[in-house]
Formats: sequence, structure tokens, C-alpha cells
Amino acid sequence: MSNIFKDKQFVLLISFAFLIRLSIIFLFLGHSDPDNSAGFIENLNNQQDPLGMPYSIFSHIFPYYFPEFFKIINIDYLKGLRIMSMLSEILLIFSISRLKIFNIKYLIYFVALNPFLILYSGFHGQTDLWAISFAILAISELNKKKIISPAFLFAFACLIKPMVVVSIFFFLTKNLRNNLKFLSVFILTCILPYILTFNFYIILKNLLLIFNYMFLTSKITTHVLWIFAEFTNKYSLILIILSIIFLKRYSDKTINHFVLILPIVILLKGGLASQYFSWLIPLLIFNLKVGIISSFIFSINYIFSYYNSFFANGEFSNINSFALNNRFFGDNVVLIPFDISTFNNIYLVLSNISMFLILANVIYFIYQKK
Amino acid sequence: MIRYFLIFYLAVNAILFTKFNQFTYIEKFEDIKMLDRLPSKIYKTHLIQSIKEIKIKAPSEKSWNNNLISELAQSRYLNYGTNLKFDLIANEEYCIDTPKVIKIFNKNEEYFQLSSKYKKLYASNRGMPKNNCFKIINDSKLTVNFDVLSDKNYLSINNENIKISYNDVIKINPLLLLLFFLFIMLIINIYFLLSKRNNELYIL
Repeated sequence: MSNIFKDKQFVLLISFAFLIRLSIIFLFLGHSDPDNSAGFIENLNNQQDPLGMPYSIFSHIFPYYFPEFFKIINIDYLKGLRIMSMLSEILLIFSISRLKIFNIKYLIYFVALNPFLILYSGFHGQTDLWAISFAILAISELNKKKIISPAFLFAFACLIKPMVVVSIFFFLTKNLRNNLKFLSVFILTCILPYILTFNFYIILKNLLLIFNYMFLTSKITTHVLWIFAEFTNKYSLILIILSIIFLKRYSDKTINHFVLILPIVILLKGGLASQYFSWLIPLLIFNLKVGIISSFIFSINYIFSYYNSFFANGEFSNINSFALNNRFFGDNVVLIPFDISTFNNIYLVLSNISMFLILANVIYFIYQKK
Repeated sequence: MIRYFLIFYLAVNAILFTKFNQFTYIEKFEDIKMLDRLPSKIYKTHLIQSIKEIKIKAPSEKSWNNNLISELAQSRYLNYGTNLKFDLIANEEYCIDTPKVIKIFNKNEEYFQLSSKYKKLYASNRGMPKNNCFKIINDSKLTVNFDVLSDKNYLSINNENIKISYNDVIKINPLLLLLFFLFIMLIINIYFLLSKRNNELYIL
């Protein structure tokens, strides 16, 4: 591992990857999603009801509270959250490298130079990659025939983003004793943060919020448009369960199940917020060159998604992400380069191309494994 | 490895406990309105009536917070985009409606507030009151921040729409900038990843 850092070209490239992410973080205003979490953390600090985020109580502290620590070095919360997102990329490299499938140099190159990940950490500062990385770490431990550590790490992933809980079936085997052990550790890890609140109201409200977000959110509230969504969204829960059964039969490797279920959920839910493209990163890594090329199409779609809330609801919240730091560039305003009908047409085409590309990547992955 | 993650998990839980322990909880009756729809015979039973009397401890409601947004957080709003400045006269009431943020300052004091619309998005309780109105004692300056050049951008002072004009301001087209970025990244990706024919770079 340390040998690769002796390669000057490699070190230069990694420095470039860090620098370009930091430049975006410090030069651009960034996405409004972190604004929302900043508000919840502000309420948490003021001992007022912080509930509202559809993630577990645990995630209110990690990763959402952690950027507060960056204030010590004079970096505000919203930049801190995006720097945290960079750290989740490092954990992703670490967790996939533990599967012992890929060359570490490829993993680092892929993550460092991936345009979607640069935009994701630079502009957005989301937390999906933390959950995905912990789930993959759990799988790497499961491959070593362990039970307790995968259960703990998988619970950690679910505590950050409850959506990954659909993968729990892939951790269960025909061995009932092992399943019981796994579930006991999983449940204990998940409920401890709730117990520590010592408040029934907080527990109940938080669980209801998560339930509402996971099962009742429809495509109307989301960003990416997908023509088959009208059909798949209604039956998404049944279709996801069927997919899980199919995946269990198709392969005996948990990592294959996990890599495939995330894009399948995106396709079946039929229209999810643009940051969910990060769920595809493990699949794109496995698909090598096809994955790298797909990243560019997803990135273009991701950039266009920033204009969506403006054209759909007249909100400036995402489009103002592109405002430049006026200390460096002077006063500036962001231009909107198209009218509503042009945007709608481009976005519809791009979103559907992206969705077909997800499908193509899933098929390519299955074909490759055969 | 698992040991370090366990310590980390416990540390996060310790912070969680400390944070939620500081809350002010208020005992209140949880009004389960669904129960009212039950047939009167069932509704009047002892069991349902006892459910209605359950008291829970809820965190105190979000209240108006007079703490101004910190200097560090202010930079997030005023250091991006463009700021337009206006003069405000003393002892007058002002109602200002705008999508993002305003800053009011004079020699003695300085207010920095999110607009009520932005406050809602930000889920913050620091910001302009719902009616966007306030009174100032001294002559002051008003700074209004905008990020996006659009017909939908607006500023209304005392119900009078102010025409916004941007002079000597850089107008940026981020789309071109980002597409150029993608092009550069594609070339770098072709050189370092896509052009490699030997699979050894990829798989162990």
C-alpha cells in the first residue's frame, strides 16, 4: 500500500483530486440540503425539537453534528459537511479494498477522478456514502465467516441511512443460530441510541418519520423523472422483495446482492433525488470502464438536477449553489441559460437516458459475472 | 478494526446522550385524534379514555430565537453572489420581503436575518418574523443578498416592489463552466483509467 505513494505521478493526481474538491467547497455556495441539516443542528444546540430529518437519531450526531467541530478551525458547518463527505469517499476506498477484488490503485483512481463524486462532495455534502461504505465493510467481515462484526457494522450503516436496511436479507443464511446472533447484535446496536434519548416522544416521532419516508414517499416529491415510474412506483415494495428473492437465487455472494439491490431500488422507486446516484458507485466500480463512462452521463444529469427546483417550484435553493465566493471573484450572479420548456425537454431526456444506463449497468454486471 | 469502530460508536452515543439530556421537556397530553372517530360505545370505554389521558414528555416548541447568526455562518450567505445596499431611515417600520437574506446595520448594532421564506427552508428559528416587519431606531444600511439572475428574484420594501438592477456584476454561466470541468475530467480519466488495456490495473 505504502509503495504506491512513492509514485510521484500518483501523489500528484491524489493532490489534484483533493484540491479540486476543496476548491469547489470554498469557491461555490453549494447545495441547499446541508442548509436543512444546519437548521436541525442549530435546534439541537438550542435544546429545541431537532426532529424532522427522516434519518435515525444516531445520524443526527454522526455524521450531521460532526461538522460543528470544524468551527474550531474557522470552517462553517456547511463547508464542514462537505469536507466530511470527502472523508466518506476515503472510507469507501478502504471498505471496497477489504473485499480483495480490486487493485487499490484502481480504486483510488476511480474515486479520486470520478466526476460525480467530485460534484457530490464539492457541492452537496451528503451522507449516503457513509452508509454504503459501512455496509460494504460489514460484507467484507461476513466474507471472513464472522457474525458479530458484520451485524454491528451493518447496523451502523442503517443508523446513518435507514434505506440500506433492505439489504439485511442478504446477511441471513439457512443457519438459524447464526441468524439469531446476527439479528440480536443488529437490533441491540440499532436501539441503543434510541434508549439513550430516554424519551418516548422522540423515539416514536423519529421512527414514524423514517417509516413515512421509506414507504410512503412517492415519485411526486422527487427529482429524477423516469417513464416506467407510473407503474413501478405503486408496486415498488413488492417488486423490491421479489428482486431480493431473485438476487439470493442468482448469486451466493453477498457483495453481488448489495451492489445490485441499490440500483434496483432506484429503478423501482422510479424517481429519486439526484444524490442517490451515489448508490450506484459500487456498481460503477465493479463495471470498470463501462462504469467510468456512465459516471459522466450521471454527472451531467446531476448538474441539470440543480435547475429542477427552480423550474418546477420557482425556488432558488439549489440553483444558487453555483454562486461564486465574492471575496475572490467580486459580486456575481448566476445566469439561467435556458427557458422552462427547453429545460424540461433536456431534463426528461437526460433522466431517462440515466435510468436506462442504470439498467444497462445492472445487465452488464450480471453478464460480466457469468 | 472493529474495536476502533466500537469505540467510535460509543463516543457518538455519548455525545447523543449529552445533547438530548440538555433538552427542556414539557409534559403534555398527546391528542390522538384518530380515537375521536371511534363509535361512541367504544369511545366511552375505560380503556380508550385511559389512552386519552396518557401524558408524554415532548421537547419544548421551537421559539423565536433572538440570537443572531454567527459571523462564521453569515459568511455562508453574504460572501456568495451579490449584495445590494439601501438606506433605511430611523424610527420607521419596515417590511422587507425577499427570497434569501438581509443584513441591517448601523454604528451601534447589526442584525443579520434569513428571510422568512429562506428560514422555512433552513428549518431555522433565526430569521425574520412571518410578516417580515421590524422597526429600527437609528439610521441604518440594509444589505440584501441575491444569487440568481432571474425574473422571479424579488425585493419588496413596505409592499413596494423594488426593481433590481445589477451594475458591475459578473454574470456567470455555471453550466458552461461545469461542462468544461467534465471535459477536462474525461481527458484525465481516459489517460489514467480508460486507455489501460491491461486488466492488472483494475483487478487483483
